[in-house]
Amino acid sequence: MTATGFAGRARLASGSAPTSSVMPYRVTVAAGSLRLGPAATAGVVLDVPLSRVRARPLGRAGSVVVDVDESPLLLNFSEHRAPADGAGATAKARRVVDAARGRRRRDRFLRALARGRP
Amino acid sequence: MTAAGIFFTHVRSPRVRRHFRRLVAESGGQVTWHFIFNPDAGARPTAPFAYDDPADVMAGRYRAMERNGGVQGGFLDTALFPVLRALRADHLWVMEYDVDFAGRWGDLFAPFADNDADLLTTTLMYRHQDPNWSHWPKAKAPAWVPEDRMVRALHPLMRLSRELVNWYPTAMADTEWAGHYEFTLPTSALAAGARIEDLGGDGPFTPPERRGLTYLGRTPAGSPGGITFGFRPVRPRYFHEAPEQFDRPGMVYHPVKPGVRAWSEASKNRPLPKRRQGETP
Repeated sequence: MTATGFAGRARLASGSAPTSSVMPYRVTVAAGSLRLGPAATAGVVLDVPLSRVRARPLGRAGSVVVDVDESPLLLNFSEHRAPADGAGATAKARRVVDAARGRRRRDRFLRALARGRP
Repeated sequence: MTAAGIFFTHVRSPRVRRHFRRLVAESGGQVTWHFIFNPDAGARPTAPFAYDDPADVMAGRYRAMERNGGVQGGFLDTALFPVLRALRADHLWVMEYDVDFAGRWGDLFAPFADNDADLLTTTLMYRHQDPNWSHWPKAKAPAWVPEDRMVRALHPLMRLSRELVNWYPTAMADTEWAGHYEFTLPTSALAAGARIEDLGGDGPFTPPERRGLTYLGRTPAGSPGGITFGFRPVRPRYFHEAPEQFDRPGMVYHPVKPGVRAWSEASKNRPLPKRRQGETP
């Protein structure tokens, strides 16, 4: 996390509908831009001024729909464990904790977007 | 690593179906193939499985495709990527119906089974190596993409990683990207840090061990004589129909038009009368 921006990771897929076709990305909000890069490489997939970005939270587990030039991207800031990981009390508690962490990261991300807009 | 593939066609004639059956019979053990039929200029082909709405998955490119009047002329990506991301495999082949192989299909795909490139395609060249490419005038990238990293390709046959199938639609959310997907796909992939290789040929992305193999096509030095893979010449019969017309064994060919009008700005893939599509050679 940077002092005024955001640096973290999220799972991401294009579109606004939930899909299993997600991939991990580096997410950075800094210097008035939103930058997305694959977690697996040092490259850049997207780097756009925040003036062209809109975002709205979705659900309770760290998801957010980011519109870039009116194209939706679905980001999830939770710890990425699937519901199928288990039905026991431990698994349920872990999912609750993951969702809470995801919401906190999402909130920081949204604040960084709001602060960074011109 | 697992592999699936889509056989993409706007023609569903008996000859095209026989071509598809040969592909499946000779490579079905290596690649799980799906027949994808796109009869019109839209981006919603008929597939044997469900896929996400192209207008949602690639919203910006989809709007550009609509302004273009259809997928022809550079927007086939809006039809391909939503379909590809519905498949569960590590690697995803795309093959258009007018690609053919002078040999047993399995022999083409086997050498790539353990290759971990994110993009395997053909005729990859940097902008300065092919400055007269006809699609450069409409090609546009965000300002952070340097011109010396702009790349063109030819995609009737290509293979993508699952990662790249995710990265590309994400990149295209930025409407600063414009132009033919033979430019936007390899250029955005390179910017994303993807591993890009040429399937063969003789270009800057051809690994030394594949130089001169797989196909003969345009290179930075120009078009050699007798190319097998390019925009022209058009061959009228598939390999299984007239093998004697394919003089370079073990190479891929494009385009083969079995009773189908060759692509041009005038024809825009509009179908010929039905009697010509189904005729036997």
